Amino acid sequence: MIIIPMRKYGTILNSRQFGREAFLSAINIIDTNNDSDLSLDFSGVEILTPSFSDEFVAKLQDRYSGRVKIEKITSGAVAETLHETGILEKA
Amino acid sequence: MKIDFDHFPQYRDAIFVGNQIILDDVEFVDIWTVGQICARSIAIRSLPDRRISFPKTPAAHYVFRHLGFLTFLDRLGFDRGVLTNAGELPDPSNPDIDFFPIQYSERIDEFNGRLEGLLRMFEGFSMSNDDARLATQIVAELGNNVFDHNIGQWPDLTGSIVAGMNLRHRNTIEFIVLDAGIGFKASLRAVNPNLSDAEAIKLGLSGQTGRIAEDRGRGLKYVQSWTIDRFHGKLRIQSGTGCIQVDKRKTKDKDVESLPGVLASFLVTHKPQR
Repeated sequence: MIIIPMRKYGTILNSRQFGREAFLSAINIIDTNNDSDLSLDFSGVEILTPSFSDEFVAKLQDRYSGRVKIEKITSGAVAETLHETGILEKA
Repeated sequence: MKIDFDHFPQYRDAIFVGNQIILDDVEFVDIWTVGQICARSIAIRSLPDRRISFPKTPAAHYVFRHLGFLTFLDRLGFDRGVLTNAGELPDPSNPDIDFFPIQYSERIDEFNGRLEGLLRMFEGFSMSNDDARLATQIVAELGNNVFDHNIGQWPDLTGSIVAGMNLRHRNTIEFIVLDAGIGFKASLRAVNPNLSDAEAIKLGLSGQTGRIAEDRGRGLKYVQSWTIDRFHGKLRIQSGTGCIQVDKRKTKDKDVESLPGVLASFLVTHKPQR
């Protein structure tokens, strides 16, 4: 299991541009690893906007279909975005 | 004159006179009205006969001073010589208002850098942690829309303006996000060429995206949902001559005098954390 601590990208995750950069960074880690499952650890992340989520979480779900787990959400606002955007239903 | 969202159209012509903004007789303004005044300030900032006259009443003067309106005008390049009544007045006895001063961010990285401060400010307004985070998330998403939908197309001043007020006695917070960009109608023109301003705003609120080949752009729908369902608040948006207010019960729209760009606000009543 590859665990990506989302807090490494910041506690406030906002904007499409930053989401795209984070996505590129993450796939370089994931694609050079032999593990097949992926966990996004949201502990400590306070804010996740739909714009960032579209470019990062949704694109990871598209690329690694069925392999992305969402874990340790500690902020109600982060949960709101993941729920509203349909990410949690796919995880 | 006590000017708020509902009364702004009635008083608009009394305070926007030619290329001048005359606030002498203003006794109270809400943050929506401050947003309108900021938008007008942007529009007149390079005109030769521009002038801005500050309120003479201490209560209204206090609001503009604590919102940093003078600093904002400095950033726009206003010469102090075109401002009148801008000197300090005595503070009113019990203003009962907290302020999030006007912040102009020319670029999105500048805007992003301010979100941490915004979050702590919401917490300072006695919001619970989760409410403060969700409120910050709303402002952040509104700001993203400003930069995403205007990229490469800014007709005038580039960037977003954010400001807010907390009316402590009512536990009511209203925040504005303003820009001088292309507005909803122009943003949606490529896929919907015949919309009115109000129709364009409603389409944006429904989650329709504005650009060809774009399968996204539903941020405003989530902003609306959070404002109404989580905070039982109101979302207000003006773009061009369209002005929409959405709350739990209904969507109201009205035709108003045109505003360049977009002025959006969310107004929430929160339970203070003890």
